[in-house]
Amino acid sequence: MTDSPARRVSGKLALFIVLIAGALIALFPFYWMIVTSLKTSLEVYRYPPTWLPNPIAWSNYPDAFAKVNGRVFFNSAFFAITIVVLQGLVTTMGGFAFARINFPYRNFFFILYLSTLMIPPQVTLIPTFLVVVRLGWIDSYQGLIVPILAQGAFGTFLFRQFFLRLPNEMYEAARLDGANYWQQFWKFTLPLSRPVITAYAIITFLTAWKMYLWPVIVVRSDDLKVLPMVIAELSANTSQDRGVMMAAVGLSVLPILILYLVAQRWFIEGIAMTGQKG
Amino acid sequence: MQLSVTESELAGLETSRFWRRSRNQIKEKKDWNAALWALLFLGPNLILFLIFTAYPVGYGLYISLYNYSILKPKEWVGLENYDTFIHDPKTPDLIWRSIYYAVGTTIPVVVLPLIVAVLLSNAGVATRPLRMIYILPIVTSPVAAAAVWKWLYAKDFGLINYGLSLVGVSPVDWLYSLRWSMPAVILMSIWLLIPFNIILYTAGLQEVPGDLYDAAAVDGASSFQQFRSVTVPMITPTIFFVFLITMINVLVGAFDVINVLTQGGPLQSTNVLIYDIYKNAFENFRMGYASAQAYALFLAVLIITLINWVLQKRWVHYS
Repeated sequence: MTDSPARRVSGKLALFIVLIAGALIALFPFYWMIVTSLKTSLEVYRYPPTWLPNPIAWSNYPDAFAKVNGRVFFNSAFFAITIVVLQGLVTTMGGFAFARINFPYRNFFFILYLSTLMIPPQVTLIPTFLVVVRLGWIDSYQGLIVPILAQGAFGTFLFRQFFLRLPNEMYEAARLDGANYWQQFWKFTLPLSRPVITAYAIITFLTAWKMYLWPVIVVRSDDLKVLPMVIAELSANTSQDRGVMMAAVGLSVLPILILYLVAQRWFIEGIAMTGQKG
Repeated sequence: MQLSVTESELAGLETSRFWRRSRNQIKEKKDWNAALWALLFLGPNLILFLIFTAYPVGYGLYISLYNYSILKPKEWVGLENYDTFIHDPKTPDLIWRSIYYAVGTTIPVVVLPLIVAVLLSNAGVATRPLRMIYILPIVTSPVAAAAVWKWLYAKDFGLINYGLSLVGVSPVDWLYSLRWSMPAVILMSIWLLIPFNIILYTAGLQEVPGDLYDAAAVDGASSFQQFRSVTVPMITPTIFFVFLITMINVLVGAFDVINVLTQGGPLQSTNVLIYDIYKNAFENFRMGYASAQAYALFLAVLIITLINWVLQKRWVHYS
């Protein structure tokens, strides 16, 4: 079979048509969210729908910010950042132990810990809720945050894989100099792990920012609500103006969108890193 | 040190035994020391694991044997919750819908991103900008995405029905139709989960040596033949990994999507097992029964995982 130039060109053309069609599908909900968020309540319900808002209803955004207000943003940011920092500490330490400390039955414990990833979250959801009730942590930041810190198996795995690939000679030299494990961990393991820490931080922040099920179970008062909870409530309220609602969705997506545009490389590398075999 | 070793060798059996023992003692002391350090490093992990993973796994099994509502004192019922679940006339439908949702979401979400990743890698200068667009949906939470899709699916003012009306299809009430609500939920879930897997496949494809394609091209293999006989066999470990991750993501994400789009309706038509567990536990306060359901789910996931591990030996090739 010969590959004639004409055939090759038409093949490339077909490839681009397919790829652009797919890209439009990926992009379309974003386009519609933005367009709707800038329509007046009159134009939102116009049929056939208009492709661009006219006039542009900027006021939807201040109206939306009255719903997803600073407090909600603060809660989401506080929730996500606290989890990134505390779980980061827990999982880097755990990863170091599994990679660099030769303790008895290490591999057995590691596999056991890793296998907890396969437990469906629904299994631990109810008893974890009851534990939080007994601790008196319902409707509190600690109730919201601490149980999520326990979901560190994946992070521990990620850090272990990275620490295993650091040069052995370095650790031998440090041991000869009399550096204990903590010094090895703190003085050069962590500083050398910036790429994996960044990747971990972005993925964990993203996961926490999107989280809905656990907050919906633990949080009762408005003061503690995170973004997905408020978005879900607005969406369920049929009398809520759709333009304002889309503006609220847009506001909730905006911080991550900016993060994605600025640090796109780390998003991709971070997720790609999870797929590396050890 | 060296001198004393030589001495001990000269001194015969007794001393050599002494040395061996003391060396073992040093090793034991070292192991003990390492274990102590490991405990220090793993301490926070261990405490969190015991309180929020290990204990709940056991406690969940325990309360599945009770008639347990947070509002009333618990009452021992043995295996009755499991019995009720198995014999409930609604259960077969519930399980069928769960399989429908899980398979209907998982297969496209494992297959489509592979095709997209391969096509993207052949797009030359357009690869990077197009990939960036394809991956964009990872910035949205399932809740935010579902809120937008709910509006796209709306019967009277929704864009999907408008698009269909242009080609002569009469409007469908997607989220309130017994027939179309589940496909609508699945379609949105697919849109949501594809980007993550595109990234995983893209990384996997980069590890396929380029000369394999050159060799295939020299042999006159078409693009599709190269895909089938070079790409797919070379990335079977990635495909397997993507499958496992997707299974977890479907279990985690389905609640958010269903809760915003349909809340399990209309008439249970999008009520899958994980959603039913939530409703029983936190709306109907039947926590014992919900725990029994969760354990049935656990068993199913365990069986699927085991089957996967057995089957993967046949089709996954690690280089």
